[in-house]
Amino acid sequence: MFLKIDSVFFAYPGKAASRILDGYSLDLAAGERLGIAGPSGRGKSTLLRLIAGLEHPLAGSITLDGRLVSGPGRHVNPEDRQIGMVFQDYGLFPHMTVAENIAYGLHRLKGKERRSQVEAMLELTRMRDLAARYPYEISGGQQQRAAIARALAPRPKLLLFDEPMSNLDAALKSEIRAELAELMRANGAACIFVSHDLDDLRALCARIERLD
Amino acid sequence: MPGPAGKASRAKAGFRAGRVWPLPACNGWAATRALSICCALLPLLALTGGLFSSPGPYWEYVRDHLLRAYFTETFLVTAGAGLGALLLGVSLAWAISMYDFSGKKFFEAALVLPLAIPPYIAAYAYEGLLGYTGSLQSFLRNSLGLRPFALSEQIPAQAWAIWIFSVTLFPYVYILTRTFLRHQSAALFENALLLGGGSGRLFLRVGLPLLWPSAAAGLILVCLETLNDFGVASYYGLNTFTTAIFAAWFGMGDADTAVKLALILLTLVFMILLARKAAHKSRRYHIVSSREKRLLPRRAQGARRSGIILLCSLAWLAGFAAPVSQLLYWLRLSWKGAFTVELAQAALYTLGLAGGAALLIMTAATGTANANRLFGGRVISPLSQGACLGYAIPSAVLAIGVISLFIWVDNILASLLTAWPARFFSMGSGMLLFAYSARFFSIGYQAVEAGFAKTGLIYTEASRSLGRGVSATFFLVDLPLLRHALISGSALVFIDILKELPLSLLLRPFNTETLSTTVYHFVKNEVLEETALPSLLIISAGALFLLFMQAWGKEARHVPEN
Repeated sequence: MFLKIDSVFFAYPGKAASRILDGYSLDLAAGERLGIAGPSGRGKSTLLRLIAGLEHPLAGSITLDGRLVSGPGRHVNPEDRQIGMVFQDYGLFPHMTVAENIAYGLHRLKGKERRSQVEAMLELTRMRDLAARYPYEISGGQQQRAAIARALAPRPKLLLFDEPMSNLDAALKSEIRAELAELMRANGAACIFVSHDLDDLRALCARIERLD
Repeated sequence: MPGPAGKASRAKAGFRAGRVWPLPACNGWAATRALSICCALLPLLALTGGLFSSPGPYWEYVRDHLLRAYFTETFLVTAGAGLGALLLGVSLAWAISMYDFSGKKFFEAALVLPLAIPPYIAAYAYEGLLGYTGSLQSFLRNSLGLRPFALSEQIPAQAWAIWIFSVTLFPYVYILTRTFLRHQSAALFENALLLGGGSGRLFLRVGLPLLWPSAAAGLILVCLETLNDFGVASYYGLNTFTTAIFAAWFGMGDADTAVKLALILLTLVFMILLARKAAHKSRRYHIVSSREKRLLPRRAQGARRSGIILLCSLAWLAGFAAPVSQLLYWLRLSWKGAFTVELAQAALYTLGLAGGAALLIMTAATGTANANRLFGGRVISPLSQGACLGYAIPSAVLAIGVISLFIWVDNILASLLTAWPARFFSMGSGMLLFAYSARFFSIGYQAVEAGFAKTGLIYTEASRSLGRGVSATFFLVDLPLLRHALISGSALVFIDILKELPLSLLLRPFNTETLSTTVYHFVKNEVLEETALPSLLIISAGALFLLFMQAWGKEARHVPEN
């Protein structure tokens, strides 16, 4: 399996009695697009944070591409996991333009290669005209496309989407769903979408798991 | 499954091959935090050693004959100053937040300016203004032929001190209450008005209970500043704990008695801090919806408008304009001999110390706050709150802790290394820099913590998920977003160090003066006119920073809040 989550337990510090994840397990194949549905507060976002390395599980293990990334006495830092994440609020750096946001994760590429990768991402997400704009100068849908471009740019092994549609209005949602599904198909990377909206997940994912 | 070529291109693009940290975070950030906390707490630990030392030769006399007076006078002045500042601060904040009137913009900015005036300088200026030979009485006598009156003899010294503290420290209450009211929901007050009872009932039944926690936080700051004061109490000859510590140390040469008195004062401070914590827990109100409409001021009319303008004018006049006018008058008299090499040296020394300490404090505070938010720690996170106690601890107490620590370090080094110069650490400027840092660490820390709280963790997490480590993330993402907090924190630290008197007086190296000690020595030598230039230098630097911060705060609204 490309991603294997094995009996993971998680509770926030000081709240050990109320576990958010209680022995949760999950498998994901390479290139697979998985949706995780469930009501608020059941640990969907926490699961993504555990996979990304932003939280430490209390017990259990997470293996990515054959390598143990979280487990007893072992924690690979988020920056070393090769996992991209699109946050619910996008997390675009407000002091950087769209192009600078996309280039941010390409620090190991040389200047020319970096520029061409940024161009490719701008082209892919149809953001070329907005490259010099700051995040507060573009709309919610454009911000989402910029966040996806930024996450895709370093070519991560796995992409995580935390409620990617929650900040969009209904009209924009259907347009973005189709765009996003097309983008992910073109990219070919494995991805996990988390949402409380089943319609979003049906449009984007081949398989849907429930977290109740 | 991605092939080898895909792996190579990923590694090339941004991600590293994989570095694994052990679970407990152990890195430069955690080390900076541990070092900062140790440095801030060490003077307090050194001071608690005094609990077990034998009493000094004068302790019995102090305990039997003076201790009661120290308690009474300290309590009287602190309670009076607190009450005065509370009444002024709350009424001004209420008037400014609830009403629109001509000159409001000016008063909004001008009413924070009394914070730029150290209370001891205000005390000297008021004596120059209202004393028997002062400017006002001389004018009344010489120009209008009125009979002189001796205000300084008719009004007790304690009342003078209470007046000085009230008019210079009320901005602490004013700023915190105004900030709280600015973020309140209009619906609360509109509902209260619709339910009837008028403005008085609105203030007493809705406004006061809501704003009380913020006003109380300001009140605590006023009380701590009053307990910390040495200059005003010494000038008016009051028997407070701070003057008693100086008297025991320098007057009687009895350091052990000074330590005992410092520990009593420290207990009083802890009692105040415990009261604050209890009050904070019991009452705290928040707007329950982020979509609430913010409070919009109403136009004040008639007698209410005149009353508000009069109140604002009097507060600004008493806290800022009157003392500054007196200092300017003195400057006119002492202009010719005012610019001396000694004063230039003192100004440069003060600016260097304040700049150095601000840099040191902001570096330590940033390291500590960043480590706390990223790595937490069940023991060490609460300890960093303990390290913030320095600001609450009176300077005279802290000075004793710092000097005990540095003498101990010097003694140990001298016993280990025969060539070690005597009192190397305990006679240099490093000791004063360390003391400033320990005392004002909390100001820097709270500014940085508030800055981090405003932006949240999302940008840091986004950066790390893009392959950047903790330090690269800090310099590329966190630091640019934190710059407003860093600049305002540095400015506050800088102003406080310019004004600081007791630490500078006790810990400066021999034959070295700061601007505040220069002012103090002119007063001791009874040449009040000479205090004008150094005082105005301190005040103008502080006022400029305060005005700059207000403008900067208004401009810095575009940084998103999480």
